[in-house]
Amino acid sequence: MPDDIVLRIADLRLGFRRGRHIAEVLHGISLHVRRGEKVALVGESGSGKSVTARLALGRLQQEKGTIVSGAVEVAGIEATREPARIAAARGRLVSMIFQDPTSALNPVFRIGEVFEEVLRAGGQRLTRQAARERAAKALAEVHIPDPERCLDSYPFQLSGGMNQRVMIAMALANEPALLLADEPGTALDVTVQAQTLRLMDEMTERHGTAVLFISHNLSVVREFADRVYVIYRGHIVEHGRTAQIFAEPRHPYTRALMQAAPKLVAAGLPDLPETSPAFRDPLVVHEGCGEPGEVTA
Amino acid sequence: MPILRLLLRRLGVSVLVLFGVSLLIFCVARVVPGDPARIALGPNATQEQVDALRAERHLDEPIAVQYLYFLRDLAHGDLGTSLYTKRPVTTDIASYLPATLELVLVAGLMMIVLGIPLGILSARFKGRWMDHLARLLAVTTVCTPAFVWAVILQLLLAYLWPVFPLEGRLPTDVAPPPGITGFYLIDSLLAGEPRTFAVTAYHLVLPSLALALSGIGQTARLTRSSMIETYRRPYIEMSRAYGFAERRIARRYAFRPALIPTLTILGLDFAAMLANAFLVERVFGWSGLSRYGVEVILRKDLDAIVGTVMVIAGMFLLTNLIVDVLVSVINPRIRLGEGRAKA
Repeated sequence: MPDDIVLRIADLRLGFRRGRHIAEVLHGISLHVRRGEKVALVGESGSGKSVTARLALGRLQQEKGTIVSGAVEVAGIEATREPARIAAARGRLVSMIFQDPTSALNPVFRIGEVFEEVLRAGGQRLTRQAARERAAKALAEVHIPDPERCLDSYPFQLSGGMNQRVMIAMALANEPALLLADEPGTALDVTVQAQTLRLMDEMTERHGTAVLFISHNLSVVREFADRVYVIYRGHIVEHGRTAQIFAEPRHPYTRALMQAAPKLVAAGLPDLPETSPAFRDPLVVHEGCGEPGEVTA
Repeated sequence: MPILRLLLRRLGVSVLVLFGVSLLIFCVARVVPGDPARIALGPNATQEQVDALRAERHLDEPIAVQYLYFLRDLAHGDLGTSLYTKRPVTTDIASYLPATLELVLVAGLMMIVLGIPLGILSARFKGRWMDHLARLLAVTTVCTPAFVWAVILQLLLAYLWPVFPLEGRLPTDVAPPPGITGFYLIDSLLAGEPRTFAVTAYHLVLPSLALALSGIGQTARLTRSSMIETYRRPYIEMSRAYGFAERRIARRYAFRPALIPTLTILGLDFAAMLANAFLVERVFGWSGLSRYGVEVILRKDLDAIVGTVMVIAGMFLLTNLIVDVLVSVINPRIRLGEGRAKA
């Protein structure tokens, strides 16, 4: 396997057991993210996007009633079979940005206290003073005007956009190889969300961090991602470079998803079927985009 | 300084509450049937003697006038004289209160030191044997009253298997330490008598444990549910995604937010122990204020009733005040004011 791959998911299946009933959520998905690459995973709510991220962190596997098969490898660590190694990698090799930054920051601790813990969890042995300096530098890098003051603030004293910047700074503070971004900024208003994405773009470019960007919004993805996977009810239905997918969406579901994006000029949203047999069509892979190790068509 | 403002406001309210309590208990104690003078003097006293005592204590005047006398004395720090012990009520309280406070403080410490860790462990290992054991313990202790524990503990650990003393604050052959605070633990240390300190602590174990047990269970249950609730919050998921050690999360990042609701109830439990201590004091022959309070109520010792109730109410208010300050220290939203401008 080529070692420039930071996330490799192969034939991943996930089910939740409730009593005797097993609800299958992922039906054998495969995807990969290369070093420094920005890949989007797009689908509607409940399609299995977020659980994929939680599996990559090795967090979901430990919970009762989850049945996982297939491979999830983060920087060479098998997240299901090596729980101790993936636990040690969290915050160091892989980190995550959350939907709502304000609720993802502990309300009873100052930003500085949490930031220090983030650095410490990343394996950095720093004095309190050095950690504070590092944190202030990281906050300045995400264009926070007064980092010292920010470090002394509680999350509820900062705006949502500011908290999102803090979150991005924390996520990249330990120079992870992979960043999981679970609908970042969806809880914020549109302009702040756009700023957030630009900032994330700038920061990951600078640090060479690979990103798995999870979103329900194709138009947001267009600005940001190099490649796109479209997921529908636990199946990957289309995979291609961003330009390819937007130029020529081939899967019926992708086409429906694109029509669902609100446009400024067109009047209203088109009537979209809740579901359609065509959405179950097999995976469409665009030219030159197969999974590594696979015979590409 | 918001904490100072909170303190001042609460102190003002406390004074009002104490005033209300005094009025209420003053009237209730007098409205209850039975002549306190007759009870104090016994059935053999003549009517003249009883009338003389009634006149001396202004019991023959209207309640409103009596209350004014009470307020006048209160302004001089005088809570009246006990009809039974014939001593000033303040003297009685000063001699009985430390014993109860010592008992209740040690019990409160047990509640915190045993209850909170039990709850944390229970939440962290939710659904596992540790949790089931802790919950069983908690439910058993919560639904058994303190006096039952007092009898059980005394029977098992002082009688059948006598590792602890049966009753009292000190054995008869040990002299109490010189009274400075009235707390034997503190006085013995101040007097440099480590042996007395050890014996006092030894005598405190069973009664304070009996008093604390249901509080320990209550605290463990509250801490558990509050922790479990907190564990579902996104910021805990964030802590895990960023690789914070699970122990650090349990002890710090989930514990501190979870403590806020627990602390409020803890304060109430603690204050309630002051009043509930009387049965435990009775079982362990502990000459404390709770026991004194019950005795004076049974004897309709008016001044002593009002004095005791007011002191206990004062303790209640003080405890709540301390809890409020602690909560505001932990919870920055309260400390800094929710509506403060965003930075």
